Amino acid sequence: MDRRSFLQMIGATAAGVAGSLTAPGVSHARSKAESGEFYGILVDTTRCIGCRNCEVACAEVNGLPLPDISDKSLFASERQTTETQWTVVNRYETEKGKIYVPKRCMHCNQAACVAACLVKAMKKRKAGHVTWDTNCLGCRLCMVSCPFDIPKFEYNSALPEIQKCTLCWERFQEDKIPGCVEACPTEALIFGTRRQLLEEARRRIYQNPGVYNSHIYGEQEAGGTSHLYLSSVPFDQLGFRTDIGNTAYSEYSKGFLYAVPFVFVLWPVIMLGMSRAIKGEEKEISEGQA
Amino acid sequence: MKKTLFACLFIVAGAGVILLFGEITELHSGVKKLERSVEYSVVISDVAPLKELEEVPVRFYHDKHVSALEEEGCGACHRQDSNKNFLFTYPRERVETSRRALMDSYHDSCIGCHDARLAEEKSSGPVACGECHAPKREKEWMQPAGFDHLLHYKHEAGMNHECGVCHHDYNEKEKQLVYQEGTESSCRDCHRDIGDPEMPSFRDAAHSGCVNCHMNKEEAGEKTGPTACIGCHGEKERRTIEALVDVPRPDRNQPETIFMHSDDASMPGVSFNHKIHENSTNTCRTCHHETLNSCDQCHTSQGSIEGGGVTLVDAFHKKTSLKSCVGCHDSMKEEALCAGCHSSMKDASMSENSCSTCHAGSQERANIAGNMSRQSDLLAAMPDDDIVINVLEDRYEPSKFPHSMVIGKLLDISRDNRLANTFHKDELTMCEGCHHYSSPEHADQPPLCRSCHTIDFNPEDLGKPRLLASYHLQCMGCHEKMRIDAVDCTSCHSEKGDDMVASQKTRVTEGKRDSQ
Repeated sequence: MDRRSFLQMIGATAAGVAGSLTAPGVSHARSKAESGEFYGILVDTTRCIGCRNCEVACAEVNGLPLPDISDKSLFASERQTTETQWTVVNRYETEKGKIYVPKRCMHCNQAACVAACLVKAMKKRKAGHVTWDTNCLGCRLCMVSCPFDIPKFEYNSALPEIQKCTLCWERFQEDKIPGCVEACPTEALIFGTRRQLLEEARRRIYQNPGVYNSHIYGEQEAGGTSHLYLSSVPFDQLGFRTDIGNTAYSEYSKGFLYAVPFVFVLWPVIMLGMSRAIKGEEKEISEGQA
Repeated sequence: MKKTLFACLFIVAGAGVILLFGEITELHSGVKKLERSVEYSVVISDVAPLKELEEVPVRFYHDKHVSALEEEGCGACHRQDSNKNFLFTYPRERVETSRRALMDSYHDSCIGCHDARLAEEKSSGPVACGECHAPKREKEWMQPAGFDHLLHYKHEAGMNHECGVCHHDYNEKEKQLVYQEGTESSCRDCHRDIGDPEMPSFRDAAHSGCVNCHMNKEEAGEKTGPTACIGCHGEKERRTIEALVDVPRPDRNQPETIFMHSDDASMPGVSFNHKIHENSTNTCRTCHHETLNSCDQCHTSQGSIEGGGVTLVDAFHKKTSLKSCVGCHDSMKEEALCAGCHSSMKDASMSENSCSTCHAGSQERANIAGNMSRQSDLLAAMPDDDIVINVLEDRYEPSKFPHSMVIGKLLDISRDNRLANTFHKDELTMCEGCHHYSSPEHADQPPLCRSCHTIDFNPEDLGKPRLLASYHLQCMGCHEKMRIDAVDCTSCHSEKGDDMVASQKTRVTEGKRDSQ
């Protein structure tokens, strides 16, 4: 086979593979995932009315116990997500009055929980979803590593799992938008690629002077997240951590972890070499003496 | 047996007395607290400009000192000039040569007096640092005195229209204050925020001018204004100033209407009603700056130093300035009555038709009475039925939108507002409040909400909310902006009947997650 026919064959195979991928019947979601862009949610807290429909929708699509949303007294204290409530809405008293903020997994671009997981049970999917799998050890390092305190462990279960928002990974594969976004009556939550969401967030800030605090929470925080927030007040008034920094958490351990294989492989070689060299010398010396 | 019974009774009675006593003292302290809550403090801040303060600023209770030093009078703390008029600066021996000197003069005066009174066993104040420099969180009550047209008129009437009592110029040759009629300007024209030995600051000038006059009149038994801080600086409802229903115009020989035009301008002239604008502003300074000059005296067509480089065109049209026509009119859109519609039509703030509304080019302004007639053709042509919205019918009863009632209300607001009446072209303008981005040619047939807003969420068009969200954003946004309550779910669509509630409950129990 000459070079030309080889290249032709390669080209034809590639075209065939590409054709079969885009052929009808193949899930749109799969091609979306392979567009190489992260998907995410933009939360516009100026639009949130605290109706908690997102909490109900989350419970419905994930088979969790339905919360009682008529109980407004819950807003008295700040709630955290739990193993049965993957999204919670909190109310904050700020300089601009009461502001409601939904809280769920931030789906970091380089998630700390994914980096911390020993067995790759925590995965960052190609489309941006951070999901958990059943090959978990139960070490709970993901919980310790998360700067947003999101993964939750089923302490009450005999076979405990880690529970957290999956950005509706299963619905995404069925080409549906996340349940919370679907349910939001004011479109305080919108779903799209991270690039589109950032564009939309910047448009809102730019076109509504004086309405928004010109900071998109999640654009830079912890190396960037797929879950983004817009607000009319500084984020520290809304219970957000502002001490997280812009470095992805996995970057902190990357240097060390990359060094481990080198140390494991090279250190014995160096030691052996040195030992041999020294022993050789000792032998020469002892032979000389003898 | 009897002894123990008596002992028990004694104990019970004793406990009762103690409890009762406790109750009474608590009651008393409650009364005291009430009394205390009406004392207001002034933050001593005039040392701040020198440098940042090391200690917490002192909250000073002026009214407390006034009542404690009633015998001694104002002279105990404030200096008097040769005419026996008080200069309300503090301390008496105020040395401003350095930061240290000013600080010392405060400390010497306050602590010195407190010490002396302690020695004389009179009521006194704190002498240790932390007692005055204590972080106290109190509600800020000090408001600007706000010398508006009403107060100006009251003073004018009280002084028999002798403007010279307050308004003056300084004659440098004769070294005295003179009054020249027709040259009155605002106090702040000369008395600036920070004074110097030649020219007292606005604060000093206002206090010595106002309070001395009030005190003198009070002594003479005449009717006069407040002498205590809160009388002028309290919150509006605490002030002791009677309101006047119809405030007469301030008189500085200003015309009622002016035809503003320039020979080198390309636009036709503007007929400006000065009188109407006097009623809708608080002070002359709102438009005229401190000088009260006419606009073109400083703002020339090319811009000048006196006019701060702002050209005549900008002085009338600059959108970001509240002193310009366009800027002030534009800011009115944020008023509660207007913001409901205007907040959703940001892009359409000015059109090519806007110019001719003011630049009519004729001396007589005919249309000031308004474009909108009392008889509404729009309402007459509109079906009276409520619009039923049922996008959430699986959870809620349909909500009924009283379309013609809303339009009627908006028309009423527009008719009663002179500005709206002038700028709303006709009744069809009202439609644009909700049917935004519709083309003006088809104003009589505005598109429906669902013509643009899709039922499903569209990730390709994130800027345009889907139908469900657009209803909520439009309705609730307007209610919030116009400060109409009813932003609760059930105030627009009532919850579906009991069967719905029951099914919700079954779902709760079924929804318990199966843990494999």
